[in-house]
Amino acid sequence: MTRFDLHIHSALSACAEKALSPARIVDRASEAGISLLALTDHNASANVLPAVEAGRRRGVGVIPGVEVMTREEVHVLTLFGDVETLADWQGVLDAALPEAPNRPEFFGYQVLYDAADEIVGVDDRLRQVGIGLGVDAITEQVHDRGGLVIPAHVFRRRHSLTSQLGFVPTDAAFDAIEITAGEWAQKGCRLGQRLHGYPLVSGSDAHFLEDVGRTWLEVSEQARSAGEVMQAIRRLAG
Amino acid sequence: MTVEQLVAALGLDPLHLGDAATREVTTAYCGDLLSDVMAHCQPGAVWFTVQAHINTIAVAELRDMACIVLVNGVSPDPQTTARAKAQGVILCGSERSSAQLCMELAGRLGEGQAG
Repeated sequence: MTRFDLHIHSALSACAEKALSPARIVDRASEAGISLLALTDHNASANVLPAVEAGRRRGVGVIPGVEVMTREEVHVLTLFGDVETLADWQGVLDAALPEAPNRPEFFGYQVLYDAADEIVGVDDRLRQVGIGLGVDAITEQVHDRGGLVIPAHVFRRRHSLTSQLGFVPTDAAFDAIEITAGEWAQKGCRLGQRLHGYPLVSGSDAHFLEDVGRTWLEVSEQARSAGEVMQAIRRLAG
Repeated sequence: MTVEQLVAALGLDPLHLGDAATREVTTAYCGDLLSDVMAHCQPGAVWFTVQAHINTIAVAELRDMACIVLVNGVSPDPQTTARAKAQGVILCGSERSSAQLCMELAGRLGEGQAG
């Protein structure tokens, strides 16, 4: 059995709590029995490698990921098989990101940690902004790299497919769509359900340390990667 | 003012006109959140937006708009142009902003009709 969470932010996301270090995320997840998590900061991924290292020590698998803000200002989770592919994808994002400094007084600091829980720097570039690539182009380029594309919190009133694009397009190539943990619980959802044809998932979208390990999903198989967990979800979804 | 006349008046780039270009444009709307546009745009409108995603075409059809204008030099996604052609939705482009185009259009569709 694998307990997992595909949507967690660290202190690198300007809007997230600064105590959200990779090591603490992994520790809390581990205490909650989560053995696989995706670190998904906004248009940034520099805390993934320390999370992978910290995870290795605690027996928690860390999926290299990033939550992209598309040209339409839709939030989309992009998950990869290894850190090298993520680094390549981050290069694409950096090239498509408007060149502007972060203003911590408005947006918050973007804090870089190492695996030993030390602050090692601050990312000065504005990350929490739409990049120059649309959701369909992003989907295509992530799939070219063997990654997964999961639009986040698709019914939320900000930065969702519904708020920005009116509705969930039915003929896109998304691997799954995510609803909030609150909606998941409220509607009594279960893995294997589909919505508009896409497998339905949920993630904690943790922005505070206390959110990590509060909610999770489970599959009966042993899953150690995004690909394996997606396979298990697809099997359930028929 | 017909769509054809609008294209000429604002110097729009006709990305796809089709055979409905003689339709009357009765009002205008500016919006980039399609959820908002679906809720508020009126039929017969020229819609100014930066959203080039394929859903834009569905929203235009849903609200029975006269035409879409992609502003600020945004080019449509390839699927968007294909869907516009397939659905007979008029799609234009402009290097100018929604505000600049609306100011130029002000008063020319009839007073009080912009919504």
